[in-house]
Amino acid sequence: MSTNMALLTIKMAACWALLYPTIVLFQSPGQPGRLVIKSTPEQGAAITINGQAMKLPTNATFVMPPGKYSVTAKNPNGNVNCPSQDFPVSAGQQTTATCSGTHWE
Amino acid sequence: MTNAMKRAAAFRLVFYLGATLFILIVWQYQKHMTGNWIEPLIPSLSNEQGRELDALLEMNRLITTLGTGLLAAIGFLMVNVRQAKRGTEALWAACGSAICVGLSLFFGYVVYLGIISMLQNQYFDLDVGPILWARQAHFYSFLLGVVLFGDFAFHNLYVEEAHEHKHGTADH
Repeated sequence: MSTNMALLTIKMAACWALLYPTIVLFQSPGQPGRLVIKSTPEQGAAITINGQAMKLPTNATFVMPPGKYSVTAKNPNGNVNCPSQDFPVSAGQQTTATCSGTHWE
Repeated sequence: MTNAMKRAAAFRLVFYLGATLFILIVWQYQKHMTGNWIEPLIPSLSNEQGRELDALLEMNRLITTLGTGLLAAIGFLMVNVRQAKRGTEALWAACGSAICVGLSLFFGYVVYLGIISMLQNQYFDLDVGPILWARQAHFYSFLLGVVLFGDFAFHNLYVEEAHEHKHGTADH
């Protein structure tokens, strides 16, 4: 009888352990955040995020997992030339980075 | 409690502990495979993107259907093995195949969740981390399931019959 009870307890614990991740975290990917990158006085500056060149120039919006991202924006004229700066992106939130000439706002 | 009952209880215990461990491993794998990705925001899908998405969903459905059929075939052959009271030497292959196909069905579901998340968050890239790894896991776990099923079916259809035939001839 005690063995049966022990087995039942183990079964219930195992079932809970199996269901726990599904119930608590679900299986879908975590919610990403958005990073809007703008530039003044000119648009069309090339963007790099974490050293990776983006296909779209300013002004553009990117979707990414939450975290810190290092952003640069440059155009060939030199009107826009913002050095690398970290911007935090939170899940479900939108962060805006504006490159005004040579500094970020 | 007889020895047989103790063995059955121990087997159940090992089964549930193993299943729990297995699920935890899959869960951790899933958590660490999403990786880093950065995608531009798009207001709506272009025609080409729509077709690409349709093709992926079609492929996903096909693998899921084949996987379900394979599970049924495994069950059918296992019942046959039990009824014919044949040896269970290749039973591990059947169990491995069932686990792989089960995993494949699960990863197919994860692909759908990844696509829903992608559309909700307004970006499009079917090769992005959360979708790519699930797509690959969906296909390759199915493929492994097919290979193991092939081993199980070959063993039952040819090897066991050959054994029986040999023993039958020796008896006569």
